[in-house]
Amino acid sequence: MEKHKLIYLDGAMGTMLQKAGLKPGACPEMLNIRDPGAVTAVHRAYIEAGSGIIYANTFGANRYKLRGSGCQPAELIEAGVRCARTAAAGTDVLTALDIGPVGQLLEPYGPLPFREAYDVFREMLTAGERAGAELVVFETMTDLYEVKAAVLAAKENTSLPVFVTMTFERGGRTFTGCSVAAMAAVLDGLGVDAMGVNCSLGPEEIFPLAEELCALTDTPVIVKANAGLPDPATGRYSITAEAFAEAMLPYTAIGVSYIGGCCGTEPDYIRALAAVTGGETAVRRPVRRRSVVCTPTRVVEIDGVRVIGERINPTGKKRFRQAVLDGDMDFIVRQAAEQADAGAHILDVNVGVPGVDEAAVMERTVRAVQAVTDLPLQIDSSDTAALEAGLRAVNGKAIINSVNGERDKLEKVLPLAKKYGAAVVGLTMDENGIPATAEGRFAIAKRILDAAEAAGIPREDVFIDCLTLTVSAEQDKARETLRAVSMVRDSLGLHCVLGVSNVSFGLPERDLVTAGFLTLALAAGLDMPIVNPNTECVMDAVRVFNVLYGHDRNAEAYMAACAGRRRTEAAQAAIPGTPDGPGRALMDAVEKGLKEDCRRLTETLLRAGAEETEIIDGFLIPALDRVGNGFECGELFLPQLISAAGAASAAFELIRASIARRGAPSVSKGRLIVATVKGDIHDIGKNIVKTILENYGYTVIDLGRDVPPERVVRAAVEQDVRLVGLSALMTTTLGSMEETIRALRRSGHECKIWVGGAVMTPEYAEKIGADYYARDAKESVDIARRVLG
Amino acid sequence: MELQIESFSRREVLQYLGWRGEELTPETAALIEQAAAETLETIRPQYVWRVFAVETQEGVRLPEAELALPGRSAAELLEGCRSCVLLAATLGAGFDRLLVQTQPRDMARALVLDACGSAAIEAVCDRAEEEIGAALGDGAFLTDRFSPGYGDMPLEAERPIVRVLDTDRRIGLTLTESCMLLPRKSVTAILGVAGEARPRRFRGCAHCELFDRCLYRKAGKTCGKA
Repeated sequence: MEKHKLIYLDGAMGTMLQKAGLKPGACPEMLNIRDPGAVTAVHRAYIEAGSGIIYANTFGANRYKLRGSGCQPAELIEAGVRCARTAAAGTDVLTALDIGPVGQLLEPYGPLPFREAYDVFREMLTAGERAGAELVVFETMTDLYEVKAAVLAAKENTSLPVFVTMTFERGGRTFTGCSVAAMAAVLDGLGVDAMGVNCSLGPEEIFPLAEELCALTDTPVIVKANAGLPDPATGRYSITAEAFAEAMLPYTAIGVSYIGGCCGTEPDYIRALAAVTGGETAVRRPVRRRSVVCTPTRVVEIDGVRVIGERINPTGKKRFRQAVLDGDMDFIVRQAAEQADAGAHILDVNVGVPGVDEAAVMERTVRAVQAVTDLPLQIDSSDTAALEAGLRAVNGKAIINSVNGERDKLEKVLPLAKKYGAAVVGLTMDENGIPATAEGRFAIAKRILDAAEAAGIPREDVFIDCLTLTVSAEQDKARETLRAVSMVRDSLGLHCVLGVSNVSFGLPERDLVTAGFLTLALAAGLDMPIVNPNTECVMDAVRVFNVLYGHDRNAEAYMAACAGRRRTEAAQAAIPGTPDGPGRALMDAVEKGLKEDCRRLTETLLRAGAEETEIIDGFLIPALDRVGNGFECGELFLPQLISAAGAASAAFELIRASIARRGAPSVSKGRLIVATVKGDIHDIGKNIVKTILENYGYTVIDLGRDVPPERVVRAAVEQDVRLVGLSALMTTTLGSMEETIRALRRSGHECKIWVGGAVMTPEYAEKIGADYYARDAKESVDIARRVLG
Repeated sequence: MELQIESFSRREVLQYLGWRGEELTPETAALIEQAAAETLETIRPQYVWRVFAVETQEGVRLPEAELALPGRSAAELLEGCRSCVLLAATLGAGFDRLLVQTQPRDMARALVLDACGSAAIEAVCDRAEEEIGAALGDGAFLTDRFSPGYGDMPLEAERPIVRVLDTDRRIGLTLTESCMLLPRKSVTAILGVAGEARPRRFRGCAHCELFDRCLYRKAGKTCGKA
């Protein structure tokens, strides 16, 4: 087997410093200033043992971990890099700036905004480069989103080569659920210089993960394993230097390029490693090229039909456009959840509405959507700034929709795909419009592929859209599209995307035409249809195709879908007759929390010509009141109250859509603000209150959680809102609730404030100057009625 | 360290949901069972612990952890203990993801899941306590566990515990600047190591035999023991 040079990294720093007297839990980076000699001595020991790259003692020197220490990141990093450089002087050993996780979880699961994470890393990186580090290693990372912030910060602010290693548990996932395959897809896209695995496990446990990684990427691979597993009581690691080195030997056969040790390893381990492995590793790794998009927790390989959901798109949809204009993320997020639950594999995200800051809305939308589904996203815009904002916010590997054959477009969009590691959809059109023939479109597809490859984008990341035209307008063009798809598949070997629904525009029973065309296109080679996955016959067409073409082994998926359908029909048939008409039945459905029935009955009522307000005031509100009263007097259990609210929401959504279709102004009983105060990120209680208030017809401006006082004040003043609800769950955040109330009062803005939350009491509410205390969601409604009517 | 639980207390789930003895409809009972199954499927419990020497001159201190524990609660708990266990446990990030993803889909289910998570992390701590007890061997008895933010132990005690156990690295458990543990369903605790078995304190309504019919509970109050 061909061999190339194996580079040895160092072993643990913390283990060595603790041996030299550092207390557990103390900040190791402080020693860079207090006892630089001790740090340099550790580096020297590793260099003598054979390390070719040493990691400076800078792992946790970030502004969050150093808070309260009296030290700045820059000074500890400069001192740390100096220690390493001193030890390496006169050798060809390289000094790596070592950067670990910030130690705070990123949004949406934690308080740390992506931008702030980026800034934390930027501060460390520029200090490290200034001090003479020759590369940067981000290690022990568990959150791929945080890694993305780190890598972008490195590439945009320094010229250091970038190494990344993440920490996996036995199941092959990091603590935040990221898989090895997702890491490989994203880091290959971002163009890191080496990637791999460190910490948590010993050499034997890491091996299968490294093996998987080596088969997925041709980027050099790094492994830094622990000295076995720690004893829980003492923290001591289990294997000796010799055993460690023996266990690391197999890594050279799979072509790992950089090896070293993590927790529990010492210079002897590196010395043994060098002796046993002899400085060589296999050079060629058989890497399977494949088309992949992903989020950290879900990798979607394009090796069969992959449905791209089209519904996050305002084109021709008044209700959606209104949601974008109002910043109504909840509505958009529901579109995402419904498509994901219907079986979409990828979601297209388009928020282009005239008059909005598309880039800003795109960023918000991407973040909101990826909080509720783990499907990969396709960022869809004709605006380069919106594309970039979306790509930056994406957690995972996305698709750009789209570029086309125009030179200007290619020059603007392809560099974005390259920089952010996205796949790209190429539309077969250019300055001269859409070619009439398949040959013309194929020629453009070829040109796009060439340009993409020249821009450094691998061909498996180029998808072609041969463009669907409306068959009622140009009947001969459907066949040209199908021919073009086949040519692209057969001659270029690329995956094909197609917005399918266009074909049926202007014809009655559109779904029939769409599904028919979809089946033909799938047979012609389309494997990434952009469709509405909530249209049953569209998904049926995909399921049937998968059976007929042998992609669905033994028709298992098809049969499962059919079985589910029979159950639903049976359940619907079982609903007892409705003697008092659909209105009475709707009230029953709300009270029982039956969402599907609420939807169906509301549709029936609307179709029968009932006024929207009549449905709301005649049935929905009385039903909710009954449930609310039942809860209040201790007859109904809280989950029933919330179920009823959820069921009523489904009805309200249909009513809102109906109002939007008529172009009538939306009905609202008044506007109010809800927020979970600064420092508090437990927001389920606030969200429940919001759901119920919306059901009573109030427009709820939800500022979210961890909201600083000034944002509450600004929203109340700017939008002239007269009722503000604040929630806090922890005793530690009651202080910021008080502060928020004070800020609202100081602003002079006239408004009533109500408060709630697990630790809140009526007495405390009064003490901090709130106007009302609400024990639960029901009492919040009573307060809203009192204040807003 | 990873750890498995096969079940958790339904009574605790009901208690977290504020159950006052209302009729449990079949729909609600089914919702709870489904949420409980989903919880067990999603959680990846992890815990980490270590033994520390305790000094009791001038208040309770753990010198090695540079941790001082002011207040009566800690002093009472650790009375006569020469050492103690610091424990941190979490259900993992996947459960937080489930909670966030469920809310826009079905708020009632999210609410019940949240309660299941609270009950599950208690069960995880109980199991961890058993394993720690077994690891410490005969002759060592664990006291009740006690967490920052309860009694008069300040919530700020989370900081040194999280730091000294290196929870971020070991089990993926972080602390926000306002001292909240993330992932959300996580616990840190102190347990004394005593030379003889200690009486256990009252563990709350869910463990009381009057749970289903207690009049105090129905009125939203407690008998004072909890």
